[in-house]
Amino acid sequence: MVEKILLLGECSREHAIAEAISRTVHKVKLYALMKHVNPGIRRCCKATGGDIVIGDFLNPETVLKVVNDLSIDLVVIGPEEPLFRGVVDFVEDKAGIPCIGPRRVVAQVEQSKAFMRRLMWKYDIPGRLRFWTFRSVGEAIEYVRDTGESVAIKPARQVGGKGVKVIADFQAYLRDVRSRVKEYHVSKVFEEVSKYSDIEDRVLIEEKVEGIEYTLQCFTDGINILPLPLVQDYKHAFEFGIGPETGGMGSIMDRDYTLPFITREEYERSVEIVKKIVDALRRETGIEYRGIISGQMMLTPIWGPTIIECYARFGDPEGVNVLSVLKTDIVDIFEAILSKSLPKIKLEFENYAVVVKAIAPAGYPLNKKIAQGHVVEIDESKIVEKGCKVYYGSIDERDGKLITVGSRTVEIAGFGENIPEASRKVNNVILSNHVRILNWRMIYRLDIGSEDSIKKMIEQAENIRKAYKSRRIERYEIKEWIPGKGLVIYRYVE
Amino acid sequence: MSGIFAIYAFDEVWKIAKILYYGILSLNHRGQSESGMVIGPQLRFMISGGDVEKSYNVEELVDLEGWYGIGWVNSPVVSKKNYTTINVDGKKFSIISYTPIRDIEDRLYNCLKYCMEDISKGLEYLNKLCIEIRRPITFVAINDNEEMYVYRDVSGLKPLQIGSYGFDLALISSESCALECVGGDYRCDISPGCLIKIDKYGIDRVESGNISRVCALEFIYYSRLDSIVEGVSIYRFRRELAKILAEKYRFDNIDIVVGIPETGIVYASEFSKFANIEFSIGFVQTGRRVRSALIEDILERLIGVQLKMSPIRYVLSGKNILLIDDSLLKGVTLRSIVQYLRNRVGVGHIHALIMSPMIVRSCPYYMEIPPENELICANISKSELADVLGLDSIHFADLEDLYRAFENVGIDRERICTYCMGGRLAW
Repeated sequence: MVEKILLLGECSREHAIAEAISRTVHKVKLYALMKHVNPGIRRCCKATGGDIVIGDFLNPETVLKVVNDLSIDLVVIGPEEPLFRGVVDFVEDKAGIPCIGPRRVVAQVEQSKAFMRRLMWKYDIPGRLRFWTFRSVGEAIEYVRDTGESVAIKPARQVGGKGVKVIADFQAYLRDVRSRVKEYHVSKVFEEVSKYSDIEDRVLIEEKVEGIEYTLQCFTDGINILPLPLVQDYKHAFEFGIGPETGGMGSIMDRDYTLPFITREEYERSVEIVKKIVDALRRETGIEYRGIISGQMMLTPIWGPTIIECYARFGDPEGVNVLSVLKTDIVDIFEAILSKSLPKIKLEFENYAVVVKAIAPAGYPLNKKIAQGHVVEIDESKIVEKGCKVYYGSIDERDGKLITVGSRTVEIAGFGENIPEASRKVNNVILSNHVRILNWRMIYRLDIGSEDSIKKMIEQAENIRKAYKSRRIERYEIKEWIPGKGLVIYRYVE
Repeated sequence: MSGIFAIYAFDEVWKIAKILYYGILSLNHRGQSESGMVIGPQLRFMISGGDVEKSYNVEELVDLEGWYGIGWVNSPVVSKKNYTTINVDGKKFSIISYTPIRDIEDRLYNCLKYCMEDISKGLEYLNKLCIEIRRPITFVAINDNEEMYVYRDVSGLKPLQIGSYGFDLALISSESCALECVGGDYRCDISPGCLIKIDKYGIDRVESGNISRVCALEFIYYSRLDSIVEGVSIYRFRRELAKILAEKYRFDNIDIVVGIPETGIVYASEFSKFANIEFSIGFVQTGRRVRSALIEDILERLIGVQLKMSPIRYVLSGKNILLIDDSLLKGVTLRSIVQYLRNRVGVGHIHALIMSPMIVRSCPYYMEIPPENELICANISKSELADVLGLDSIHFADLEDLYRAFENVGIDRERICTYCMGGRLAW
């Protein structure tokens, strides 16, 4: 039985994981390794008799030292970057201590979009998109110019959620304006990805699809998956769903596993897709994926449930939605992952819709420098009185003061009978100024989870459903003609 | 009357002039006497002709610097009056409204000053100003400090929507057709009495919680068929109206229903489905699309009408027809068509059905409606109208028909302004 757990990470998602661990009935001490002092995680650790350790959790040597010094017997990894740095491999191989979090070779499912896309084509996994990878910026630009197709330009490697630019291109008459922006982004993505030497493909250009996004997070022991309720997150920084892409400014979850605009059948199909990815990873690499795998899905008019990206972790803020109401003992789940007996776990949640909203200092996400170093005041008891919980994020406690680090400062979770009710509770907390960044503008989104937005999404989903159901056929081909280069046929088998 | 389209790019790599151009091109139906653009941070006004397509060199626009800006089209009633530059505390503002603002610059100066200090305060003053001077001062303003302010007036009589383009652009538009045209996504209608501030670091908004009034003519005539206004498809509304009138009026001995281009055509095709009378295209247009109602000069207007309405003799000759049009203002267009059809084409009986109630008053809110002494329905009695226009009979929707059509698409009758139709001033 696990006795000492070490959690890596320092944001709201890790606070939610720490809180879930602190609720366990088992006698477990929780420690957390982080770069700055997150008071929320520290409180959870102390409640179990553990504590926080300040250090660089991206460095495998540092992690190993903490594991040995504290006689840790299980490491739980919150964010993705330690996975890419091989922290799991290092700890498991050098110290023989198991981790909740995949080994590097299987974490590629998030790290390399090219790897994930190739895997989906090789193993005939439904819900996949056409893609092209490029090693040089010249080739990619030439491709963008030649086809003028609606594409999403993405870095072929994860760079902390940054650099993902989607430039639609349906209007031929505006092509010159957009090509220039696209070319600019292709160069920028290339520059960023070049900083990493760990993968060969630099730039990925992907068929652009439109639809309704949602996230399916699952526990997996490498063979079985344990799917969690669907969550939808909101990436635009500003009100109305406008502005630059962020890690997520909020997320919504309903009772009963699906969302008001996703059918049970679509939920099950999404689960099937993620399950097939886990199987394909095992067959491709010989390694069993242990930890959390999340499908960033989209309900598209072409395929219905479609994979846009895979995460090798909980989403942030999506993890907060599920973990804040998880009733099943998370330590039992971890044990079941280690013993490959996930099917024995019966998942239970408190019967609430959950809405999470982030509050960030102005400057986030494009200019984090000006977003740093501001004093934050949080009235936690008032927040709890209003039926919400606060999860500390990009925040540092220095000399008794809370200081912004530049990203999302806190996430507020609200609970209700339905999504709009939960959303109203969170808005009430935000508008009552129970979280204040002193003398600095705050950004947050009141619109997330409103009745109106849900109604619109239900309508949109209905239309998408009609489209994909009308073309769901057993064998399907997309023929692409690149002038001067020839015909390419993409075959899809259901 | 005007159309307004504005863009704010969160990344300075964008050069937005050409996108602005397509935005106002798709709003050209809202005003054809003048157009313009102003682009920040330089804020140079480019004032040009009313025919957007002919008034800009698109090739030059591609390279024009600037990543936020406003474009607009105007009809005569507001031309030269609804845009201006105001300096506030060392910041230069360019501001474009639907209604005249040059006469209230000193008041707007104060409002903008408050907006910069605190948008809640700015909103309070703007709402007061609208009510005090009874003017729906919906506007978009940009300054040389990389800020954009968007205000929809307390009544909501002037439409304004917000949309987005990817993670890159915030879009503001009179109608959703312009958002569609540039590949953007409609997000919502801005609520009446709402002030929005957009800059690189965020979007702030303050609202008054008002329910918007609706200008009946926006739905009947002005907005484009592919637009969504106040959450309602313009096509859907016009179909409802056509259905109500098809159930109300029975026409015997009519061979075909013909719509007067451009707005009348869809009314006619929808009417024909419900009235079970054959629908035909009766006219072909020569040259660019002109809204004849927006031309002031009578001779020019006649030229416009005649170019717009080259009759298809095969369809029309020897038939008894029902002509459908959206509205009747001076009656010049309809009269000249009827004469032409009778004298040169050899049409038999000609009846007319007008989809709006009789328009008898001009608009206090700057909708392009001629003065009352030029409105045919305000000066000629209903019994004489058909004779004056050379028709066998003429029929109109009445206010009740109109209210029912609005209610069928989910807009309460209390919200609708029908002042020009002899009805209630909704604000």
